[in-house]
Amino acid sequence: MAILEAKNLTVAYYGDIHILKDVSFCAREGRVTAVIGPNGAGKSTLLKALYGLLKPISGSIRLRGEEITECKVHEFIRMGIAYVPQLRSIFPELTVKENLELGTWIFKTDKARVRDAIEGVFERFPMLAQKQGDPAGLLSGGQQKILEIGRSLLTGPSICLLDEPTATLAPRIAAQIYATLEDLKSEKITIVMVDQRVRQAFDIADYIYVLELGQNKADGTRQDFVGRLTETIKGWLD
Amino acid sequence: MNRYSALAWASIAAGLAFLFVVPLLPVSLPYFFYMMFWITMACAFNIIYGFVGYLPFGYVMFYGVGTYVTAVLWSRFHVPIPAAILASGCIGTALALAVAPTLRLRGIYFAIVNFAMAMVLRILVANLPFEWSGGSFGITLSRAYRPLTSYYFMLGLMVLSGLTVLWVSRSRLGVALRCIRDDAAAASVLGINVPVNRLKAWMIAAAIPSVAGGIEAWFTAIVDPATSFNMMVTAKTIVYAMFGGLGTVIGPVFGAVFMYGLDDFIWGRFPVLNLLVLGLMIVFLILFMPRGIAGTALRKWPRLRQVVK
Ligand SMILES: Nc1ncnc2c1ncn2[C@@H]1O[C@H](COP(=O)(O)OP(=O)(O)O)[C@@H](O)[C@H]1O
Ligand SMILES: [Mg+2]
Repeated sequence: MAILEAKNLTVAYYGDIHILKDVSFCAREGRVTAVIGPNGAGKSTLLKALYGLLKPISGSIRLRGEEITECKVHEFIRMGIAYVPQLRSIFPELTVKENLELGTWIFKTDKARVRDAIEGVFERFPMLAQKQGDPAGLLSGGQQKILEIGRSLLTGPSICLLDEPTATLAPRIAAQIYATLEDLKSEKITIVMVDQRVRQAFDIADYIYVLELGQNKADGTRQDFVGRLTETIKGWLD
Repeated sequence: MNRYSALAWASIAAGLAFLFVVPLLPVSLPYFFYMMFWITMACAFNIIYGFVGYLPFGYVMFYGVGTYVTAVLWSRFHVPIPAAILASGCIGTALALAVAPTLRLRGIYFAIVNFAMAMVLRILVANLPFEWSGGSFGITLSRAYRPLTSYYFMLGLMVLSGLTVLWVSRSRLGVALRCIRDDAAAASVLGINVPVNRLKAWMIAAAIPSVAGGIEAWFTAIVDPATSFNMMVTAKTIVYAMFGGLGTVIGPVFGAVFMYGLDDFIWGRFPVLNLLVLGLMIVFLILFMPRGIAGTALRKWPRLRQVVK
């Protein structure tokens, strides 16, 4: 069933330079949907638009059938949607624990709820518990990404948008992040991910969208792409 | 509470007690009035620049509007001074609300637009009907002149603005503001309502200098556009707050006390060169201590965190 759906999105950062042109997208409940495409195709832009960080010039976004196109960014986490941007979004001078506490902002001053949520993340990622007193900026790139993913899970989202969660990471850490995504999938969390590692994305995804030059190039299930994959990604530099 | 915070609170209490008895001592009342005025300005400015990272180059406009609202209400509409000062605060805050859309601008663009607004306001005020604002001659309030009472009003406002910064710093608002300063997009993704929190800080940062303007107009019993909209008010506020350490609670207080004292000293000794000396100090400050005294100390001795923040 469609849970997060975008219809005919046209999006620009400045004036009428349209970065996304008439893009449609649909994430199905409890499934992993991957967005792939060459650099600069507009994958990150699509996630930003889905999360209210960019208002589309035209088109609409629906959550469980309800219009959310005009919702403000800060409302999305309250609607059960989490987002891990491509670029670093932790606060480097704060400790790991403080970063996690910020992730529970919407719990206000409900201390018990905050503590339980953080305990849950520590169980999932013991490394974060070990490093909880360290400034987040001192963690390695992979650890910072895990901190961001952990932070996005604190509020128990039903949908998680992840923009290149494994890019620039060592293969071992990337594997750990893919394993986490598998866990989330088995917990029936809907995942939307942008990924440059096309093969891995195909391994984990139930449905794939291919973007090129800000437009839908192709979409379908893994089976739909059998035999066409090499042709699809031919010419991309990845 | 550790040793350091006990010491800090004790010195603050001693300082306040001293300020309380200043009128009984053979010292200059204006000197200490203006010291409290600058502490107040630096604390309020800290809320918008230190906590949110917005640099309003036209910050003087809130002070300026504050002086004029009190002066006009008292002299033309016979509003009692305390009520007029309150009105200064309200109108200054309303002005902040009116120019709130400029908060959408970032960095230097916000600073410049704000600067331009202060200049526009100065021209507007100078060109109000003469029987209201007295044109470039301004307004005298000599019949309301009560230096002692206005001194204690300023003392009260200074304490209030210090407590406001302390409260902001320790509240959820302060957490939100620091996040917004460091990374507004990341803050909004966490569920922090960026525009609303920023607006709260902006309105608090505007209300305080507006009231301060009203009290200062009462203390000097004269207002005129050149003084009320003097860009040096903005410049000094920035320098004093920065010198002490933006984003900390105690820094701007310390910076204002020290720099105002130094400024006064330089004025007395080098009447011609004082601006040059001030300028050199600013350069030195930005080059060697961008985090100010408190910020630098905090880096060296993180244990001071409880005292400073
Ligand atoms: N903040 C921005 N301002 C202006 N243009 C941008 C911005 N971010 C991305 N773009 C442009 O939008 C296009 C798509 O970028 P992006 O969505 O980041 O691509 P991808 O994530 O697929 O690599 C690129 O041409 C890029 O130059
Ligand atoms: Mg991208």
